[in-house]
Formats: sequence, structure tokens, C-alpha cells
Amino acid sequence: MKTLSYPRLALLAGVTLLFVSLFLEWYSFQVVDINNEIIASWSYNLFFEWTTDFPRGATVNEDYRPLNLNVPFYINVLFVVILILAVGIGTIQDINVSKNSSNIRYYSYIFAFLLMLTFFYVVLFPSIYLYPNELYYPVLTNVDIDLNTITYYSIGIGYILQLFGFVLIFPYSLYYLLTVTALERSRQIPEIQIEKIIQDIQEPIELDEFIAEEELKIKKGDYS
Amino acid sequence: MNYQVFDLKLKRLIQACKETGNYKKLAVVGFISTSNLVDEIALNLGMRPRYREKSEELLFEYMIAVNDIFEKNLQIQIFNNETITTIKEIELLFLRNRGDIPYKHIKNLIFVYYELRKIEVPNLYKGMTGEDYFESSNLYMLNVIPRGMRQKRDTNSSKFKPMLLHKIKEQERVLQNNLNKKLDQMNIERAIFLKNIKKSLIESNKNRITFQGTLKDNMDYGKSQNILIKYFLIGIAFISLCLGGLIAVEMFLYPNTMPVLSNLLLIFFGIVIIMIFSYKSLNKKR
Repeated sequence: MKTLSYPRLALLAGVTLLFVSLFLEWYSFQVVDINNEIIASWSYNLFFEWTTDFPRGATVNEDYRPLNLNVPFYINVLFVVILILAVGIGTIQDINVSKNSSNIRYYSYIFAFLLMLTFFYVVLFPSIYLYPNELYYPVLTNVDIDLNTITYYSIGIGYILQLFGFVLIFPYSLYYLLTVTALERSRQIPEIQIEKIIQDIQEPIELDEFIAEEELKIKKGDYS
Repeated sequence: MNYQVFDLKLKRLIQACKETGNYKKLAVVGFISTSNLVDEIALNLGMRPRYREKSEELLFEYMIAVNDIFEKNLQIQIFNNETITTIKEIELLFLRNRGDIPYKHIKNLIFVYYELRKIEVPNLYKGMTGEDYFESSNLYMLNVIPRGMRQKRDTNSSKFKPMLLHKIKEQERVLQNNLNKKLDQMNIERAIFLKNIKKSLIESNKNRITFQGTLKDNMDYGKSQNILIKYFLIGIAFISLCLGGLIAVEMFLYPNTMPVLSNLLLIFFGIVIIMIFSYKSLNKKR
């Protein structure tokens, strides 16, 4: 059985984290009163929106219920599809030993999409969905003197896994994209650039220096 | 490279070394020149450069790798077996004795160098439109189908296909024989072109030269190796920058959060700076 390289393992670990993160809590907030008793608690998940541990009809808790964030469902589904494809490509195919350059171009689009969608969740999710609803990021405690309450705002484990996932998938995805781009570009490299590359990699030969040294030896009669 | 000047200088060095009896310099020059020439040939053929660090890939191993690719694709040898054997013998001795090799090997090395100079290879990075090759080959018949007939060509192509493939194979055989005797630029280009036509005839849709080989045999792969750690650092720097940016926006939107979030902002931007320094130090090391 072939072993996977570390970057590919990191990719697969990252994709797994991203996938798991979708089903965990992304954001939560709790309100406690002066007696340190929780009076409201809500947590957010991409698929299930806001959920609470309080029973239905708990008035105070209901009062604190935030508006639905409405992250488009199709984006979540698309993300799951892209994650599955990325796992497939990452497991089956190694770009370093790939023989089919037309396929890897298409695969690179998957990785580009993966990076874009993860970027969407990591950066755009807070700025588009949290800030307008006055949901503070990443962790904040707000004391309300008038109501004698303390509100704890915090990003959830889902979002944190998303951050780790991004860091893990980034190297291999970028490597894949840049390698494919370089390969595509190399097909159009004109002769002059090839000449330059040849010059860069060739070892310089100090012929003049060698000749001078040997001729000096001859002049001095040093034949050692 | 100006070969005329190089040849004159090499001649002077040979004379001087003969007189002093110091052949080590000659061995070094002969070896580097041969290695450079092999690199030049392979790069023009679209191969990756040789992995030189810590003698990761010896010259003769690289020559075998180039041959493998071309044998697989065009059934031709770029470097003949005798040359590779000679280089292998000399290279191993050269590395073992740190350049101190007998004069007869140096003579052989310089002979091999001038033999390699005779190889004419095409620059495979040149645009190959195909049209020019029709004119210079016997396959012009592919291109002289009248316009009216071309529309019907698809339906009739199955009748022509076996005949054309037969013709192409015949030409390929002739070219392979010629190329195995003597490598020349035009014939290599024709061989590649024939392979291209054959492939498009079989697949009937693509007009692209596809070479069988792995990415790591390609010139660009070499450049993109060992940079994954750098990408990892870039990834961390990027995400920290984004998070720092998000917090900065939040502080701007809700100024009352500033005292609490300013520490976090500093931490994220600090990570960015650390990552930039790590990246730079990694660059210096390599």
C-alpha cells in the first residue's frame, strides 16, 4: 500500500476537520443574571440555525433569541460536495506523480473552490452575518448595568475547527494550484525564457581563472 | 554559449594542464561542461533540471531518466547507451576520487562532451501550430481535403482512419530508425507531431501534445519542491491577517469593544510578523 505524503495527510486531516465543523456549534451566547444563573443561552449551527437547551416557551430565553442568520443552504451543500471531491482527489491522486496534466487542471479548480469557500466561512461569515446582528467576535463579555446581566459572546468549536482546517488545507491546495499554473504557463514559455532558465541552472566554469593559474605555474616552473 | 570561445579556452587549458601535469582542473571543467550540456539538452526537451543538491541525482541517472521518457513516448533514445556507460564510469570515479581521475578518463569525458554537442534537439517550448509540419512532411494529404468534403469528413473518417494510421505508423518507424542513428531537431519535431496526429486520430477530439511522464519529470516541478513549509507559514500569516482585519473592523463598528479586543488584535498581527520573519529565514537557509 502506498503511503501518503505529509502535505496530503495534512490536507485530508484539514478536510475532515472542515467537514466535522459543519455539524458543530459555530457561535454561542449566554446571558447570566446577577445571581450567576443562566437566563438565556443560544448556539448557532450552519444547518440548524439557532438552538437552545431551554424548553420552548421560556420567555426570557425567547426574548434574547437572535434573528436567523440565513447562511444560504446551497453554499453549505456545495461546501460538502467540494469537501468530498477534495478528499477523493487527495486520497487517490498525488500531483507529484500524476501523469495526466489535463485532469489535474480540473482538480485544481476544486482546490481553488475549497479555499474560496473556507475563506467565506472564516472571514465573511463573521463580517456578513455576525456583525450586523451585534454578535461580537471572537470572544467578548458584555456587562449590562441597567439589566444587571452579563452576556458572554463566543465563537464555537465548529468555527475554531474551520480555522484549523483552513491552515491544514492551505499548503497542499496552494501548491497544487501553483504547480498547475506553472505547468500551464510553461507550455507558453518562449525560447528566450528557456535560455534564461538554462543559464540560471548551469554551473559556471571558471575557465579563465583555471588557465591563468596553470599558466602562472608554468611561468614559475611549479609543476607540483 | 559561445562555443568557439569556449573551445579555444578549453584548448589552452588542456595545453597548460598537460604541461603542469595537473589534470584535476581539466576533469572538473570537463565534468561541469558535460553536466551543463546535458541539462541544456534535457531542458530544451521540456524536462526538469537535475536535482544537484548533495548529488541527489547523478548525471548518468538523469540521462537515463530523460531516455526513459523519450523511449516511452517516441521510442527514441536521446543519449546512447555507450555515452551513458562512459559517463557513469567517469562520474563514479570522479566522485570517489574528488576529481582526481586518470588522464585517459578525462580524454574520454571530453570526447563524450563533443559527442553530446552534436545532438540537435528542438526547443519543445516553441509553439507548434502543426500547419508548417504538413508542408514539410508527406502527410500533407491530411490537409488537402476540400472544404465541402470536410463537412462530410466526420462521417467518412472511419474509412480513412485505418489508412492514415498505417501511413503514420510507417513514417514513425522511419523516423525512429533515423533518430536512433542520429538525433536531429527536425526529425524529433516530426516524431512528436506524428504522435500528436496519431493521438488526435484515435481520440478524434484533442489537438494537444501529451507526453507521458510524471509531473516530477517536468521542469517546473523542480522549482516547486520543498516549498510546502513556506505555504504553511503563508497560510498561518494569511489567516491571522484576516482575523486581525476582522477584529479591526469590529473595533471600528463598535468602539466600546476596543479595550477588550486590542490585545487580541496585537496578538494576530504579531503572529503575522513572526510568520514573515520565519518565511524570510527559511528563504535564507535554502
